Amino acid sequence: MPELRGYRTRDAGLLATAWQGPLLMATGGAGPFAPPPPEPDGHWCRVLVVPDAGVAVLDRIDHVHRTARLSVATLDAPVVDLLAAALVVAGERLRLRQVIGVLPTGDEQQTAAAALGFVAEVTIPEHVWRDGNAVPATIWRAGLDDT
Amino acid sequence: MISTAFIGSDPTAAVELFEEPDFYFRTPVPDLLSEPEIRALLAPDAVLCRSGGRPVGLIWLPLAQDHGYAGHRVLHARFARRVPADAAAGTVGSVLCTLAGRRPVHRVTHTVYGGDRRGVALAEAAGFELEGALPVLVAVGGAWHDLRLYAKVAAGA
Amino acid sequence: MTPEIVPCTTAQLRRRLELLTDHRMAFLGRDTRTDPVAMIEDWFRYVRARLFTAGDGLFGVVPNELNPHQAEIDIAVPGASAAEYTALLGAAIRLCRTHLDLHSVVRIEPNRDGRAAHLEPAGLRPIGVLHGCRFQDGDYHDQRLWWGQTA
Repeated sequence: MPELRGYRTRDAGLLATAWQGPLLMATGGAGPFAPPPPEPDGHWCRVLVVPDAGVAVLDRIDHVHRTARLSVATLDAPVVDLLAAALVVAGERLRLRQVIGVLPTGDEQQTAAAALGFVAEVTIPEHVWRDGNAVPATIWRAGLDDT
Repeated sequence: MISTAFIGSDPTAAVELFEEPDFYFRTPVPDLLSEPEIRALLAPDAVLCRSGGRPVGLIWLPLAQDHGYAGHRVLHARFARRVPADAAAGTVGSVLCTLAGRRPVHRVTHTVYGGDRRGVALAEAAGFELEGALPVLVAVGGAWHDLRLYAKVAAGA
Repeated sequence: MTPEIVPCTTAQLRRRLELLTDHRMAFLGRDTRTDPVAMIEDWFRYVRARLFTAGDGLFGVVPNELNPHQAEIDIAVPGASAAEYTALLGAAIRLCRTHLDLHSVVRIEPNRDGRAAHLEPAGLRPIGVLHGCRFQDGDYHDQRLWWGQTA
């Protein structure tokens, strides 16, 4: 399993090129007109990195409700491996109870997400802009701790 | 041989220490911190310890803020895994002696996560006494641990 | 008379957050009962919320990073009647269309309270729940979501 570590300024290039917005799983790099990368602020947002491979961003972190949004992006490394590593960090190191993530409805990655324990919760119409259209997206949830 | 020097205005050299997942210097999740978060933990008067030119540890002894006694300090200390406990403890002792030579030091407190064997070894090798524990307080390394409270009191205090 | 939805000054925001606290109303993801004002303001900055006065309360818009034509909204008006909510929320959603170029809005329930009854008359429809995502009254609860088009 890849080892995630905290963000360093030298990771800025990787973050900028991998980040495709707050999607649960994204791979292949951002391309032009990519959304701005997240900024780790030590409170609401934590950026974790596997150098030269990808990033895992936990944002909208709330330690009262023990929840966060998780987004994982790689260039060409297997994104599902990074997602699995991020789930371990979220549950065991940050003691979150669940994470949620967004995938366009019907996205090819949803099978992999389900295999890691994610459950489709809500589909929001027009939630993602893709290929010139607003398409629906599903919020997936992974429970990490039932207590 | 471990050398010591104040971090000063540029803590860059110390950042790499936080890559070890159990480098518990003021944080239970050192390897998950971003660089700005790490820099926020490193005060200019923290001491960077080096061996063979490489950073191997951090020591910080601020005044205990909560009650304002001039002679009460809090010890934050952590060394890289490759540093034996007695070498680390010796360095801590040396820094404490230097401080005591310049400022009155009556009592030094130090907290260690319950499951942190290296932290407990350092505290005990440095002559700190276990005063108590707060149960089930800290999530570290995938489990809940108590917080162990150690202290060292100056002779005659 | 058409209710006004106008941008909130910092002083107005603080006063209205205090009012929401008095009425135990959560807003835009924050629980005013437990989150200090500075933390709530920091959250609004972090999510780039636009905040408006709505009657004696607040209307907030959080842009959706994945689609600039959609936003998360919330409204909290202490003591408002059903008719007042319908009018204010309707005006707010129209503002989203005419001034913010939003085509649709999503409302994610911050804490469970009686405001849910006012959403469907304003054109929002329930679309599902996030199970166990909200801690309230000593236990984890499902968080309901609503969605609607602005025109």
